[in-house]
Amino acid sequence: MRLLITIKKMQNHSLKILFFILMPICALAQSKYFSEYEVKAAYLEKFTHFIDWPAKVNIADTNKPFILGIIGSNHFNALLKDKFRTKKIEGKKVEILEVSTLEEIALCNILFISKLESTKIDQILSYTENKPILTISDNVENSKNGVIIILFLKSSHIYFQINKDALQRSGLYASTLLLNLSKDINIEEN
Amino acid sequence: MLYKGTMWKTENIMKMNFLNIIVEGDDKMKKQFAPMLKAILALIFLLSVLPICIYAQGKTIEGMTIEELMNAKVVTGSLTTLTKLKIPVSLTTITTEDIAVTPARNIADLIEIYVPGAIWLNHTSPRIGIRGVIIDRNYKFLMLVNGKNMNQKGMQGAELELSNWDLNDIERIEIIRGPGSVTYGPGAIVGIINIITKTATTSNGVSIGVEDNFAYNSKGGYASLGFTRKDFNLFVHGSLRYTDGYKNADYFAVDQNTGTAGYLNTSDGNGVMPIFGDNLGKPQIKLHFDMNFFDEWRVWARYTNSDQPALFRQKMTLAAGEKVPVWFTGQKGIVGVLENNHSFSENISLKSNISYKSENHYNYWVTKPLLHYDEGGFNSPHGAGNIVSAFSESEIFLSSIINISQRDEKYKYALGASYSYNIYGPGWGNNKMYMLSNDYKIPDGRYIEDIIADGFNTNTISVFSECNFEFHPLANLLLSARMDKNNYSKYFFSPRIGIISEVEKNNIIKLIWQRSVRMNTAEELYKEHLYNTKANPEMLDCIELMYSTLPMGYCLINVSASYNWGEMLGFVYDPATIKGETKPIGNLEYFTAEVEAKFKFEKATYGINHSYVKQISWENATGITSQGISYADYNFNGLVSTGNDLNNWANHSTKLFANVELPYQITLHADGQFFWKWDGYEDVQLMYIAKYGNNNSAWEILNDKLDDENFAGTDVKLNLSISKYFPQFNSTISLYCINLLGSKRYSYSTGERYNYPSRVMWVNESAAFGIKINVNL
Repeated sequence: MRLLITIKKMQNHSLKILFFILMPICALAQSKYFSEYEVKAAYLEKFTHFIDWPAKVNIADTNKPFILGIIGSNHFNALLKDKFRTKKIEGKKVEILEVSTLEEIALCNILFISKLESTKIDQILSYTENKPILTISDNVENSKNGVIIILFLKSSHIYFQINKDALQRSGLYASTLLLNLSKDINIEEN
Repeated sequence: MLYKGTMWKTENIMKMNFLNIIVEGDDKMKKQFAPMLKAILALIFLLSVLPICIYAQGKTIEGMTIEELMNAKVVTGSLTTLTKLKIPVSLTTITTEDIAVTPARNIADLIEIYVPGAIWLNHTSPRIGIRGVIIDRNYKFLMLVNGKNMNQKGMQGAELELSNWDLNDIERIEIIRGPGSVTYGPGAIVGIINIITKTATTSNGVSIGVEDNFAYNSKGGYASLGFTRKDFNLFVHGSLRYTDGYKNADYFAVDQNTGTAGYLNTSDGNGVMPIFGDNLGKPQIKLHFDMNFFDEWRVWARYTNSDQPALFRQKMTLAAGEKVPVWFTGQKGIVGVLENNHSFSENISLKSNISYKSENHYNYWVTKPLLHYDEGGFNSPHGAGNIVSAFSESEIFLSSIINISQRDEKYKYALGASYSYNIYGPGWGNNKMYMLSNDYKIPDGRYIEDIIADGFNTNTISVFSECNFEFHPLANLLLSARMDKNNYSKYFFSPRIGIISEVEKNNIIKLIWQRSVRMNTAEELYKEHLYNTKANPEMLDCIELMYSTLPMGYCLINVSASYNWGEMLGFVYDPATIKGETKPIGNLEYFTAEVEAKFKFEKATYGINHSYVKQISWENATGITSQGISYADYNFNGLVSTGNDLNNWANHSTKLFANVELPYQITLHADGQFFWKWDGYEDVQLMYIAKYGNNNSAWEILNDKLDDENFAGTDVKLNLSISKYFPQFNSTISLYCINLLGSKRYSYSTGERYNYPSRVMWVNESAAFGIKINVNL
């Protein structure tokens, strides 16, 4: 009899287990969160709406791709490739370049330097200095090194800080709308 | 089907079940329809719950302004791309990080730890089960390395890679649960295991490591080098591993004639073989080479080997004085692949590869001590020897696939073809080929041993195509088909129709129907050819509903339910007519439901999954009275149909794992697998109860013993590890424990046929401790 009861219990297990596992899933599904890199990828795209590249870069030539270079994070590359598969910047097809040599930096319109990158930042920036390359990094340590935009995480939100001196040296022009939204890395939460 | 002896139990169960109200009719009908109705109810439940999850989401990140982005709440540490969710399969990925922290002995362990429902059972080497299907040879799933099929087509299926202790060259393992022959080729009836190896870009620099597993006295080391330059990447890896095996394990076995049962132990004079020990002192060696050049070219090559004694067997001393295991098997293989991925334009690309693979396989059952262990055919008509099978299998393989897409990639099309030339011959360094069929006599009176002594060869041609129409994010239609033809087989056709619906970003529903086929082994195909027959392939139909979601960025959830049905094949020999052929052994219907959730935070990763597999029905083919798939239809030696479960399977299993980063760069890992009850094994007990009633004292004693040993009951496996990272040396030291609580490892049962259940066999795997040291330079 004990066996019969056990078998009966097991027969009913399937629905119960599915029920108890799926209920928390439904509860979780109702929260609205984004992954860190999903938001950073969105920022990269939005920044291009507020930045003007100088005429010498020939940004208007839609036959050439817009080069978005990445240093230091393979995973982010995949996300960006997926994002820009059909999306265009300045009317140009976007090419994600996994920068493997310092010489390739010169090809980029935007250069994202990941916080995972261990190569010396000075070496990288020596190739972007005074060039119309929008440097962006998510390593706050790079805020003093001359990177133009720093993405930083504060209390589950991602903000950005613009280094106006570096921006000016690069020859890029940023809309005041963007400059006004720039936050200080040492921002205090309300 | 007969239900003598167990009918009263079935009747009572049905009376207690609400399904009895719905199903009226005879017991057979009830038995067949009850699980079917439950399956349908579960599907309805899933379908009703999913929309709640889907429409709970709000605005997408794509439509946000910069200000809104600044207000978006983020979670760190997760990075799963949406495209992976759209793949029309149930996929589990085991990452290099998962592998590094898990104290798995080999790939079989890894799969059991992470893949919902997957198990492995002992036979001569591990036998993998996915979604309820497991058999005494690993040929119902495909083992791939970087997409290249490594299955042995001759007889055994997946053998290479499974038992190798070295996992340090693996970037990730992708496991597809469910059929996939339409994409991966015939054989992928219940799953695909695809090992993706590390490359210079994923493992740059020099890495070295050593490991000592104390309980198994397994010592080994590896070294790898990743080197990148513009237009040139190189990765090389090598490892060496010596393993004596676990010597203090207890083996539980039953005597088929007397019913006496108990534990054998390596220390009690029986001399049973240690678990996972090398054969005859041969170490495991792995070598891997991978080179990318000029963007679109890749060449890689690999050598692996593993040799293992069968468990439950003692050693034998040969007349020559050498001590060998009574039964042992081994395989070694080398593969070389040249790949090219060329883009003609933005929308047209061509992927091609050419490869050479050669594998050496042996299986010795040493019962003739006067001969050497590798002398004479065990099934030989010309004087019996010790070789059950010994042969080599070489393959030349070419494949090309062209991918065409519209500019916006809404319409994609792929068309491909492949050709393989397989040569089956004597084992490496030998001059005669041995297969299981040696003593089969064909109608003209010749023995197969004489016909295949020098080997034979086969040709296989395949064509495949896939169309993907993205009419709307909600309606993505996928049509795929594949046709395979071996010169000794019929034409095989594997179609697939899928609807993939991106209801909202990060919420994907997939509904797939597909028919998957398994081409018979080369040995079977050739035997059929000699008998002038051509069997139909084994086929499995599957309808699967899947739901994948990333509800919070750091959380990935997959839910799936599938209904499967098909005709299982086996090789059946009739001594009266001296005619053997591959033919149906029965019809199987079963239902599966799986839930898998993975949470990835900055400092921790957690995973939980549950699998439910329920046989809906099993019916023997005409003339078949026994088999290893299910006891639901059985009639052999007084053993009659019992229960309605898959043999060798736990209907419910739950798996958990956690990786937590603590201060001081210490990482803790724990994983547990809970097999709630081995329902098919319980049917064995019920079947013998029905046979003997209260009239067999030997059975009653044995039955009590099985109850005392918790045979077929809940089985829990628990593994732990703790790792400390030393940044000054860029090195990690890990201490681990396998099977902290001890657990049973059952042997695969091919079906009971004797007076007592001699297929009831297990090894008590006790706790085993070890240490790993890895240094990256």
